[in-house]
Amino acid sequence: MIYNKIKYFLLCIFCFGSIVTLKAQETFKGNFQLTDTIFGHAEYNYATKNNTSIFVGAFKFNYSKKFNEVFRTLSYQGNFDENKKTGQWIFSSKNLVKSDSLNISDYQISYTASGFEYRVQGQFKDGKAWGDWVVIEQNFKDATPLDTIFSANAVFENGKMINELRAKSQKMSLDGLFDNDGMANGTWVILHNLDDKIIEERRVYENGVFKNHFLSYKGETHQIEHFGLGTTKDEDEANWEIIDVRNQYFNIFELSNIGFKGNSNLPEVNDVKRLTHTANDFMERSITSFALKNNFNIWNNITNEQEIEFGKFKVRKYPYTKNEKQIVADIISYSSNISKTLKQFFNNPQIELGRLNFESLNRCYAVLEVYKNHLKEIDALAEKISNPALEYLDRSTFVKSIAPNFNLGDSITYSFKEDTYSENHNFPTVPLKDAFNMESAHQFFKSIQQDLSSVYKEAAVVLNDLQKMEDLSDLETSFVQKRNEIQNRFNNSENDEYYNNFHIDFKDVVQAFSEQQFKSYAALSLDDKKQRIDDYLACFEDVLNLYDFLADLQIKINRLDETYIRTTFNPYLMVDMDERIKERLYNAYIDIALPYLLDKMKNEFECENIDLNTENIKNLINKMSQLRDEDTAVKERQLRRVKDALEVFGIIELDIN
Amino acid sequence: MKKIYIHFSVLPLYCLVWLSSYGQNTEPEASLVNPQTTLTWIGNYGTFRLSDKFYWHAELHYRRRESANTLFYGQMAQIYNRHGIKYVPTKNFSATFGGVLRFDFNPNAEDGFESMILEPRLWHEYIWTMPYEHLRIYHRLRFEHRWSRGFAENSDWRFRNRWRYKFLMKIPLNKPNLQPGAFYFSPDVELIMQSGKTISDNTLEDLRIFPTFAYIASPRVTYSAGLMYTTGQTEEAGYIYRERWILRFNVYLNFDFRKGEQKIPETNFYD
Repeated sequence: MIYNKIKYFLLCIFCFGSIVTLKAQETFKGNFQLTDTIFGHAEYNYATKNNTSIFVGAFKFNYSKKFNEVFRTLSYQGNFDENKKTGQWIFSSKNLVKSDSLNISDYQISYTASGFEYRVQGQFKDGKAWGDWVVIEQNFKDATPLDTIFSANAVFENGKMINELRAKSQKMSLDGLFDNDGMANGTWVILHNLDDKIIEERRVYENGVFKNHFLSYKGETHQIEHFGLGTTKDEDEANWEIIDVRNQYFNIFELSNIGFKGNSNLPEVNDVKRLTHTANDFMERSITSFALKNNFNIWNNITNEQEIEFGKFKVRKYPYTKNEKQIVADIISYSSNISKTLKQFFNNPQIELGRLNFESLNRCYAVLEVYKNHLKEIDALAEKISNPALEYLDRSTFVKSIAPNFNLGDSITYSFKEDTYSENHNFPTVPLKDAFNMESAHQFFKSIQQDLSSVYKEAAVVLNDLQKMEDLSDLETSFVQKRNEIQNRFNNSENDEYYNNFHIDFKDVVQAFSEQQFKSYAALSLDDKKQRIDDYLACFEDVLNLYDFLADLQIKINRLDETYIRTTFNPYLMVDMDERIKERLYNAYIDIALPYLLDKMKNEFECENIDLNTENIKNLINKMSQLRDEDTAVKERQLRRVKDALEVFGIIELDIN
Repeated sequence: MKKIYIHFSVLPLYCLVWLSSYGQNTEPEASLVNPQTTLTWIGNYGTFRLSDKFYWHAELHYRRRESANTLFYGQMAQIYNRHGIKYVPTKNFSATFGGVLRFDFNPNAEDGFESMILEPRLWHEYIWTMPYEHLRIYHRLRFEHRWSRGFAENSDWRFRNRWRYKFLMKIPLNKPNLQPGAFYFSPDVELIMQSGKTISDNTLEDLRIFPTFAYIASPRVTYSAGLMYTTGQTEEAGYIYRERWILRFNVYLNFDFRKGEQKIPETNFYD
């Protein structure tokens, strides 16, 4: 009795609290943002609870937008109860184009539309999917339904998919079962319509665990074998995982699928793996169609709650050992290197040219071609081993099933200059199927990579030589051009306006030097040429720069000459008269210092000296320019009777290289 | 412009003809020429720059004349100081104003005569220069206002004006221009007219023909030498002429007396 009183008291408190916290409903009509890109119009009731707006009552949302000629529409219609979906909800997505037929009614003119509609209709209870759900995808023509492209029916309870799932498309139908926990259960029947031949595919599950897989045609049944996939739930219970259809379940299922068991065969099915793959896709689509449309999450946009759980499957995981993790990482790396090496080699444009001249390159080509011919199989093997689904398969049984079934051989044959050569090559041994495991796979990939690397290195020597010869050819062209340019410029073959007496003075030295350099280069071995061509080019560039320097030198000397001339007005003759200033200094420069440096340059005409001697002359001229405005009375006295250039440099304080 | 210069160059000839006819009131039956005399003039011409456009013209002459036994150089004749301020507004024109103080010597003065007399003058001159590619032509107008007296003791001062026009050229011989190291030849003709109360029939004081050879040692120093022929009416009578041959040696000095930094022209810095 006392408990009943307490119940009534608490109920009163709760109702009172609700009255206090839930304010009166209001209606909203206006723009509503469904997602970042979908802005539409909504009409709904809402109330405020704990200062937060919540949906209550009816909800409608419509969105339409024209993309080129296609109108895309989206609509929701349903009810909320304190922010949780309740009762019947309908989602519709249409892609429509305007038809030609016109409807006129009173004062309205409208067009019918053609296209298709994706429609989901189902019940919610307390925010969770509950009851019978239907998905229909239909074509329309002039507003009239034509045919159903896809349909699915499911039953939900508290958001979980339970009982029977039925789905149908034009080529396939599915009838599956889930238990009360939403786990696939019982026999799933998938009917394939292959050119009016109905192939029946059956998959047997028990509480989410895959048990068996069959294909039947006209009463003839064949088992499809799945290697490595755990089917006995009682074993190793800790490593069983619940995986929903979106999270690589079918990736694991497909990887384990090795086709018909034993020597079974169904002539109507060309490729059993392809057939079961389409069934996997259809299963996934059927299960997810109630909440996903092309990755658009239908029900989680208005309120962000997980309202539907997809049907689930259980898979046993065989965690990688540390060694296996390393093996997988290594094989990924080996496979990548193998592909890269082969690509580098066969994409090298010098290969074909080199094969004409180098026998060794033909031998390497023949070896690498063997690997190239099997690259697709090698890549496929690596892809399987690096597949994350492999961790869900028992490698001790599964890996054998993917053992390579090709043979690399033990010899090669190649041609060179109309002769044909055959020789043995130590290709890696392809492991036998029964002996194939993670370790032997690792060793196999490692051996291939080592052999490839070794052969490629041998080829690379030839290729490098070819590359160097090609580079050298370009550089030598430039070298000859520079030599010719030196000769032409110092001979003034092009009547250069800046050609002057300095060029004439240096002509013989420069031409003899360039010829001597040219001959010296020509006498070098190929390796030395490769190493030293840059030095020779730089040297000739210095000589060409010297030409420009000498062209400027006369201008510089003239300008310095002007700098050392003062113009004064003679009032007796009424004439401006030029007069040399600091005459002794100037004479020391023009008569002693400059000729000395020019002679020095000529006498020491070597690559390494050209720049230094040019710099000396530049420094001398700059020094003279600087002295023009300095008090040089002492220096001029010191220069009296000086004839030696080095003494001049000492007096004017100029360091000579 | 060139045509105008040419007209200027022939203008003095018209003046010469006109002035020669003016003042000759009586027609002599024949003119007389005194015996030729010879002289030596050694001159120092200084032109010292004081500012951008002003110069100090400083001229000093040491002049001798022949004696009974020695031609050209026999006895002292004159010391001649001419100073002035020269204004050079452009390189083709100058104007000078100043004074002259001349010492005339009479080494063999007898009783009643003075051995030296002074002759002060005021003078101003205007020079136009015509620059050609290789040579120059000069036109000089010089005006002198002179006070002079004879050697006789207590002789009276008399005032006269001198009107001088000089035409000269300077033609470099061994260089393309008038520049240091150049020898040049200078044909030089000057007509000196005079006027004043005491001047009746001798207005043509002197006609000087002076071919000169000169050497420009530097912008500051020039040397010249030449033999000048002069002729003109004497004070004795308009129909009596004199003739002189004068050896002339000149040094021309041009110094800049401005402060150092003003002297140095702008330098083109070398880059």
